Amino acid sequence: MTATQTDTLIDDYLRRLAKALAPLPRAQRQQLLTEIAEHVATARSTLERPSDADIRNLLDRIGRPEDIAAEAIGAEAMVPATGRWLGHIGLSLLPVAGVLIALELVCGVAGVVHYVTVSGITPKRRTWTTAFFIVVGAVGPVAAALILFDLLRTGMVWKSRLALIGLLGSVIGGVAVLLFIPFVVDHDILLGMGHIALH
Amino acid sequence: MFYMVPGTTEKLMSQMRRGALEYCVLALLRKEERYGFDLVRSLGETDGLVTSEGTIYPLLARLRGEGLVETTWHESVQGPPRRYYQLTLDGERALEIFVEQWRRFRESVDRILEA
Repeated sequence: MTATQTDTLIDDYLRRLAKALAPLPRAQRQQLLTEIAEHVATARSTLERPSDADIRNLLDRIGRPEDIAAEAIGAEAMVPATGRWLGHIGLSLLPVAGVLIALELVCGVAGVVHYVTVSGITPKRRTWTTAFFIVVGAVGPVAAALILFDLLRTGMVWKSRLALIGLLGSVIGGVAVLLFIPFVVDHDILLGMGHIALH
Repeated sequence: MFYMVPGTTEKLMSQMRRGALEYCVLALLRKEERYGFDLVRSLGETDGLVTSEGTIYPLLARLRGEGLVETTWHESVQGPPRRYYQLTLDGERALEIFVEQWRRFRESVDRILEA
């Protein structure tokens, strides 16, 4: 058999596969096609001067394109829909999380400044106000680290719980900042700011 | 076999494979990462495990989606870079649980079959 004929057999097979995989999302379809084409190429390279029958045999081992597609479409259906929704929600909330994490970082810095400046002015008020700032300030970097670590680990898929915990943490921290700042920013902080300005 | 209807054996095997095959994939990756082609060939050459090599690729895609395996690209001596599969920590854990439950299950079934 000539090389062109074995090529035609393989091309026909891959075309049939592409057609059978049509219902799948583009990225998934592309990946499967690439992998199976690579499998065919590797299997073929192990044969010396393959005959027509060798190629048919090789393609038989890989199986009917329709069976592969059925398996792929079944597997797609098995990914729980809620998981996919969580993923979309998670990714779309990423900019919000970024803003909140920045806010929490500012809070952390403010807490440290507050601790340093108010010290000596009203020591009693110092403790819980600064503690609040510093705890909230710590939430930001921890949440950012969790989200980044998880996204890098899963290849930006956003499927596991770690990133969601990070996201939730940043949101809770951010809400805490926004709710409590009006109560916490009192004359203590103003005194502190004045203190800095005087020096 | 007088009673054996060909379709029935196939259906039975496909049902039994369904639960176990993905853990066989994980088990093959327990010691080292493997090139997709070699992984698929190993499974295909094990008797009764896989009917067609091609159907393993959708399974690999699903395992990757679930975070049980991950892939890295390696340069190859000739030809384009190759995709290697390896087990993640979640994959190791899933495999451990399966092995434990599989032993229990196998013993129970054997006990009843041999009674």
